[in-house]
Amino acid sequence: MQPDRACRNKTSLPGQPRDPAALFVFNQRTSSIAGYLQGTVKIVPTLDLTLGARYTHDDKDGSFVGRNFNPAAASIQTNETTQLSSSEGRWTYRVTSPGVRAAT
Amino acid sequence: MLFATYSTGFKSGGFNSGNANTALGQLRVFNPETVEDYELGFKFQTSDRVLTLNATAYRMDVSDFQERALFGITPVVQNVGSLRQQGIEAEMTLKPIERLQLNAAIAYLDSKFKSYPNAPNIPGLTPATHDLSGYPLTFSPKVSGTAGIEYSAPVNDGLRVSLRSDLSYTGRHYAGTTIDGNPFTIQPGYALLSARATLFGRDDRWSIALFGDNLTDKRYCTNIAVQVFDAPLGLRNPTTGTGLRCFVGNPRTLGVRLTTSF
Repeated sequence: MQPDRACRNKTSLPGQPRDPAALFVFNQRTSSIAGYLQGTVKIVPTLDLTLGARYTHDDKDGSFVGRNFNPAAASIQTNETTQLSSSEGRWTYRVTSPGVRAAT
Repeated sequence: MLFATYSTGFKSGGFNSGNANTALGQLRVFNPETVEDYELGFKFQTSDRVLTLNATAYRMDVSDFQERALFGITPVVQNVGSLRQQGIEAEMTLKPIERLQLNAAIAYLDSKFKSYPNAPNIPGLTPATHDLSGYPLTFSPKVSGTAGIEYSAPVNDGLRVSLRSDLSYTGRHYAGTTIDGNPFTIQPGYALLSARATLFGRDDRWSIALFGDNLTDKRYCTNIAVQVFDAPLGLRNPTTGTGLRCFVGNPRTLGVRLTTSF
């Protein structure tokens, strides 16, 4: 639901209970995609090395709408309309030696 | 066995969704926190499994640290400063005889903000920000550890009895829910003692346990929060700043626990 409409409905619909003193509506949409790759190489007979890489991409957007209808509630809520958006793609890595075995 | 690991990671960014009495605007958006982690350790067990010994040394460099700050009345996550967490963790299990097991673990943590120049000051004090570079992160005691002992023996008719006691120690640390360097949010080190005696039925189908937690009835704060609206409530002190709220850990607790599986 559109947050502004949610706020308006709260104040304008007839037959509803009394208006709230303040309210806020937050919504958010996230889409995330990720891929992972891992391989192990034998450096020397007693030492393996595992290499891994992951790519993650996150898109988030949303909005925050706060409405104050009663001055008595000013200490907890002010009028605010903020559009929110963030987009980030990142590589992360892992390099590990699963074990150094004692030479026999 | 020796092992070594280098890894990187991140915590996603996101939005602060709380209500506020001043418009937060783009303060509602926070960025990812990234970390580089280096670990070096070993795992050791004697062939008769009497002794197991594991230890790891690590160092984590955290950038764009996601701090939970209080902005007026609103808790917000913000990216602040750079943080270093490094330490050593070791654990040991010893089974000198079949019926007896001893375990112990110890952690040493060196926690430090490498840079955090514009940290929020203690609410109620001026100026609004102060420099927390060099301070440790909250809930980062230098020393913590656990030790336990368990004796387990069969009794007649396939029953089994187990006696166990555990001691845990948490060193002095900042226990504030926000990071403001407030000396009144320091929780001194404390130790908790617990014990239990359990009788197990055939094939562990049922058990009855007598247990006691925090046997020495130690009083401590699990966390210490800034009291919102402390000034109108008359809880603000001009020299020490904001009113605080201690969430007290569970007092001495004694009980009986019955379990059964069908």
